[in-house]
Amino acid sequence: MRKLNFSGAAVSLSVLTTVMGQCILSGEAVSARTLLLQGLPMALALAVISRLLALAEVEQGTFSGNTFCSKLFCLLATLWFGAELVETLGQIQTLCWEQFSSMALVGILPLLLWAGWTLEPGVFSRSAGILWWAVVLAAAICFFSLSGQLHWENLFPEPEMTGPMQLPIYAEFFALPLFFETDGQKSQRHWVLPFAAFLVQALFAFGREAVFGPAHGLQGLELLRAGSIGGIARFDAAFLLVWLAAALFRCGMLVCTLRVLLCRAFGCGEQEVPE
Amino acid sequence: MQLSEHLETNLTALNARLGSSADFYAKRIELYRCRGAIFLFDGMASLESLWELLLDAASRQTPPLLSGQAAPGGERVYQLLWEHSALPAESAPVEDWESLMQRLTAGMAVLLLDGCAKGIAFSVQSLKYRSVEEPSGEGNIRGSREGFCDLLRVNLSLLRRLIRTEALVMEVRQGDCEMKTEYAVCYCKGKASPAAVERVKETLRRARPQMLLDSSYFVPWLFPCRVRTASPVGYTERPAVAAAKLCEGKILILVNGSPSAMILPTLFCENFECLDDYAQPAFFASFLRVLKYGAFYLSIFLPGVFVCLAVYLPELMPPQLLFKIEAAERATPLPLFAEMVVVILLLEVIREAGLRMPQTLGHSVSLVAAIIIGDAAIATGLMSTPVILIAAVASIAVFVVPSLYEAATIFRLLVLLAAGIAGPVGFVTAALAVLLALTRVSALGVPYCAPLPFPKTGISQDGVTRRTYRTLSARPFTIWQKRRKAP
Repeated sequence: MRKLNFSGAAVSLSVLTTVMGQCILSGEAVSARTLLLQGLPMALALAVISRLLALAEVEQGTFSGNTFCSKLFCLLATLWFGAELVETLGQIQTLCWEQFSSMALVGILPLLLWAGWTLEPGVFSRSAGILWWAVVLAAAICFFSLSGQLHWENLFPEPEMTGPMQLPIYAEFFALPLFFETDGQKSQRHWVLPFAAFLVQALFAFGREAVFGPAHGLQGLELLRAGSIGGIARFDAAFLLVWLAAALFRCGMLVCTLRVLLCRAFGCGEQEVPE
Repeated sequence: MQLSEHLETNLTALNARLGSSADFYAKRIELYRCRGAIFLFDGMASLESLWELLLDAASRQTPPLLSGQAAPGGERVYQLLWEHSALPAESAPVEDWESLMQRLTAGMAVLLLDGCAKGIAFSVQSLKYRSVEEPSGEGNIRGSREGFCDLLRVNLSLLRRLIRTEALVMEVRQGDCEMKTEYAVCYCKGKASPAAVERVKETLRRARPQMLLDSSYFVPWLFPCRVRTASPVGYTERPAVAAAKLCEGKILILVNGSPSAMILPTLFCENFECLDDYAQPAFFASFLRVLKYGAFYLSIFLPGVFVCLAVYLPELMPPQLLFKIEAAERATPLPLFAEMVVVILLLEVIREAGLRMPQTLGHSVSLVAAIIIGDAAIATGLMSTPVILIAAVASIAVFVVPSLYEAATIFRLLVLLAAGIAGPVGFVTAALAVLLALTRVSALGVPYCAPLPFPKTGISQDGVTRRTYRTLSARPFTIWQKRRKAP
């Protein structure tokens, strides 16, 4: 039976990409204060749940597909990951259409599904490190392009009335042992994933508040657009292209995961392909 | 088929097989009063050596025949010659036709005697071959100037001279092809993975190439796949490089008649390394490697990025640059994307023409291509200067890493087409496809792009940058083990 052996870099890149996508496309602003007061405890609670679930899942073999319960869990996970795939594709399409006036995703989609279905999990793991460097480089350029526009006095204004914040919850948080099947220790180590997601949200929230001030309803994209170095502006496009690559990578990875889950849920025997 | 005891039968059979060949030499002789015949191929074996080493010595030592004593038979003479320590006889007798042909085509002379079903092969080769010269395709400033030549045995001796330990194993086999070409599998015992060596030997044993003219002919058997964008093997014509790779636990395949040695498995990052790297200071070698990586990615992505920006995202360009491109493009009839495709294909045609044609004409072609075509295309307004500049930079940049030429050319066209047709989304998809195409390749269980856990070892000890050779030598590296972090 094919086993998923993604690297930590691949799983974290996949999750953080969709968090970034939400931050970029969403116009709902959460103040930095709310984020710290509500988001931090929520992320902590989520991390603890993730850790405990990972322990239990490893012990019970939840995603092994050997028992009826396990098959049922695989089917449920398939639905959840399927929904995430659709959500990520939606994010990509929104971004492509709004920013590049392109419907190219329609043409790319079959290719993407085929790649995700046929490629080995190791391929995604090996690609993740390189994509991470691209993301970090693009983020660093965007950050430095904002120098001079960050008004730190804008942070933490007078307490305002804001509603409860929503911390994004992804299937990956609760299915860590599925991604690291060949190394059980890895799933124990990656329980901090909800914190990483929180950190990305916090960076966007802090940045928006520092640049635009407390009261605004601008998309995270506007934060990227605000940067400039010398006469060169529009670093947002460079960042969006890198994000797009990471989002396509996430789609491929999700398809790869769905293939394994479907096989386990419906009990189709699949031979592991030697490299 | 076994040889016959009767000399006449053997002679008739050999004449039937090789008699019509102009280079086949057969001569009846008498040794120790026994009838026999020597066979060789003219130009491959030396008659002078054969005379000095065998015939002269044997005729001088022929014992007188006493009255009533019968002349010694073929078996007796065979024994006399076989035990004669001064003769350059091969250690194994020639017993069948296949073995006979093997020896003859290896440049040996074979002696057959009447009354004996075995022959003796004498090492009197005088093969003409290209001398050991510096390979033209792999330049370096420091280190050995020697290059492999075309003869397998000479190449093996060059390797043996460099690795003077019993660890070096060089197994020679005959390929299952029409020409029965010999090849050698070389590895260092204790460093190469025994399982990998066995797998390679077994694969090569089963391979059925129609012809075997170079080690690269084995690639489809070693790594079967429908579309190969990158091969996890490297090639070298330098014995010094080959010896270094053998010491890293890699396996070397040499084929008779080709100076090109195949190294497997090879990592992607090794394409950016050269002999000079280790002779230069670490910081300078690292600087050059970073430049090489930059040049490689430039050669793949630059035309695609240019088309994508100029056609789909002009607002991302600085205004001055955009105005210049716009002015240049206004004067040309073709769209920018089509122009770029035409120029890139034209450059490939020019490169191929320069490579294949006689060297005496090569300079003329380069001159015509560079000055007349380029200048005329711009002057007549068929092509714009920015497009030619970008295509030329991309084409030149790839020569910094010549071993990745094929992959870079295919990837460049793929990225360009995707960017031209689908804009930024197509460009990103093509870039991701390039990344996945490189990372999906692996050989003998070793991934072509080693997994680098982010961000710990993105820049490894001997990867994009390298540490001092003293530090690297403290922990000798083999491809089958993970390099640990230096203290």
